[in-house]
Amino acid sequence: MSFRLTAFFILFTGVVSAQSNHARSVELSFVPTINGENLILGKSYSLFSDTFTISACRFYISQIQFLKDGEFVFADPTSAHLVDCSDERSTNIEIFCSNNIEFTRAQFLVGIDSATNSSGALDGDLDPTKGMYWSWQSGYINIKIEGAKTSEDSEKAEFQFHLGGYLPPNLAAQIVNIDVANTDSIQLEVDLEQFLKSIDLKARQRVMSPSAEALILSGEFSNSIHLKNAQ
Amino acid sequence: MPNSLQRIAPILIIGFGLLSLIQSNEDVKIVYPSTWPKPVYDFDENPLSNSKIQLGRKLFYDPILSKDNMVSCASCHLSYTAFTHVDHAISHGIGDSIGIRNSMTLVNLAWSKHFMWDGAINHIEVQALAPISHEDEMGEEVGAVLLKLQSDPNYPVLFVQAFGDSVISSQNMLKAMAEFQLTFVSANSKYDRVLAGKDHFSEQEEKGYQIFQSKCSSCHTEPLFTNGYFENNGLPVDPNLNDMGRFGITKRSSDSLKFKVPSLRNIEFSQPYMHDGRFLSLHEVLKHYSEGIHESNTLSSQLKGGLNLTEDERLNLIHFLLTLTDKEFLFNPDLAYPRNN
Ligand code: HEC
Ligand code: HEC
Repeated sequence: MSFRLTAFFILFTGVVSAQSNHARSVELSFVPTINGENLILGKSYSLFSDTFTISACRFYISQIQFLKDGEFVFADPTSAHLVDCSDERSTNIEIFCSNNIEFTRAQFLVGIDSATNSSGALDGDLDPTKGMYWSWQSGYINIKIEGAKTSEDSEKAEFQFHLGGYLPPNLAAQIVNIDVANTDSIQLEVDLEQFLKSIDLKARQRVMSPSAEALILSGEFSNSIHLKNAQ
Repeated sequence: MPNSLQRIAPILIIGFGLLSLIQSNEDVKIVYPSTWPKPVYDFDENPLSNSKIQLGRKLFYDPILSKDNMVSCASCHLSYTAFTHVDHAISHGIGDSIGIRNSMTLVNLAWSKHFMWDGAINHIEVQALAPISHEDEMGEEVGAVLLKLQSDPNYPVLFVQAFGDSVISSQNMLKAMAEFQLTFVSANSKYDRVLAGKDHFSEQEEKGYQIFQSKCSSCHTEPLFTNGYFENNGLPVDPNLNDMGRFGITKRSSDSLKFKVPSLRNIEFSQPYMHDGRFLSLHEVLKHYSEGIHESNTLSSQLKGGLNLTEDERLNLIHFLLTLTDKEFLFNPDLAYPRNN
């Protein structure tokens, strides 16, 4: 085959594969809210007769998949996305899939699965210097929520929830399924009010390591993720 | 200088640079007896290379990794004492604050699935994060270490040689450190030579070996002298430390008081012994196994009631344990402080 012909073929297949595999971009957006408003870090919110501020809200989303009628039709090749409410870009996850894919459901993991947790030093969003890794005990922090509550008698209590765990029985990563029409923009509300309501902040203000408590709170957090609206 | 030479000089430099890159990056394979099990570390996936090993070696011996630039990994893990901190029951770290555990022997790490006395660390590549960021050990943030390395006059070049990238990432730093430690293979003790038919045991060593096989090898399994699991070997809890071992990680009561079974290779040089360094000599260790076993729910059944070793048996056992000393490993210049760098 002549050089030109080869070059043409390479170009041609490149264009075709780009077209069929990467033509469609679907955006998965996470919108943290409190009191029905979009969360602003550091802002005071009145909730259940107390004042709340959230100073950190970060979590991992991994293994994003699309399903049609119960069958998997697409899996996101990126191993994990770190959603950090202090960085708006990170809250919109762009997924490239082929044009001919149709789905009726999105599925993802809130957190990092066991295999990835035991795979050594990783990079990108899984870089252990991103503040989402426990260095004294291997494992990713799947969800990090920090803030403070000031009660009516102006007593201030800080709370820190570092939720994770990859060893049974405390496997903390949560599967979330969202039924959604075949759309290019999936908007998900992360209802922090619902999450905070689920915690007895008098009894527990800190969860800092894998445990049964971390497991319960991870479930509450993923339950507070709802489909907002889809265009 | 002649004009033509001047013109080709850059090409020559680039050429030689490439050559040396290629040379120093040749894959390196660790050497061990064919009768050994396959390493746990996936060398096919992550082949060792000389430039990464040398970079890891420099990092291992460099106090730049600590906050006060005083403590290196080698401060607690010295090569000629089987990479453990001698004479301190509990390892000292930054500012002389005292950690809660005795330093560990770093040996045959490629066969290890879990790291630390309680197995808190699940992969050798992420192990270094623990001592670097532990306030009692090196007290530094990993991000700050990366910045220090990046602004150092030597490291960026070494990272280019090793990884082809002058931007120093945590991943590359950690992989280099892991690679160096994966070369800590001890497989040439008298015991190994006897097994290979190149040497023979004395009468006492032979007797000791037989006792060892019947009383110790269920946990300290040959040829690595560890079964890789967590066991309770009957040490009473030190009420000041209250260290519950593996339980602290899994929170399962069945793991209470279980600790990683340490390898006994080079045990002659790794005193003090046990996770808290409570025993100073092998005599004391054998006294414990004979008559000091503390009964508890998770005590391994082999040790119930103690081993009741006679004075003679203990002596023979010690003779055998001393055959696990591997001078070639302990004094291997390739593992020692990198003087020429
Ligand atoms: C202040 C002393 C100290 C320093 C400094 C130190 N270590 Fe350690 N090392 C220890 C102690 C103590 C343990 C056991 C810790 C435990 O069980 O919690 C240990 C355990 C280990 C282990 C696990 C071995 C096994 O078989 O499970 C490795 C690997 C290791 N250290 C490597 C390093 C590296 C690499 C560095 C430098 C980045 C370093 N250490 C710095 C004291 C230290
Ligand atoms: C039930 C399993 C088990 C048996 C049997 C056993 N050991 Fe151990 N051994 C361990 C564990 C676990 C440790 C570490 C305990 C700790 O530090 O808490 C250990 C530690 C040691 C140490 C200290 C090593 C170090 O680096 O600090 C020596 C020496 C030792 N054992 C020798 C022996 C000998 C000799 C025998 C037989 C007489 C024996 N062991 C039988 C499980 C066992």
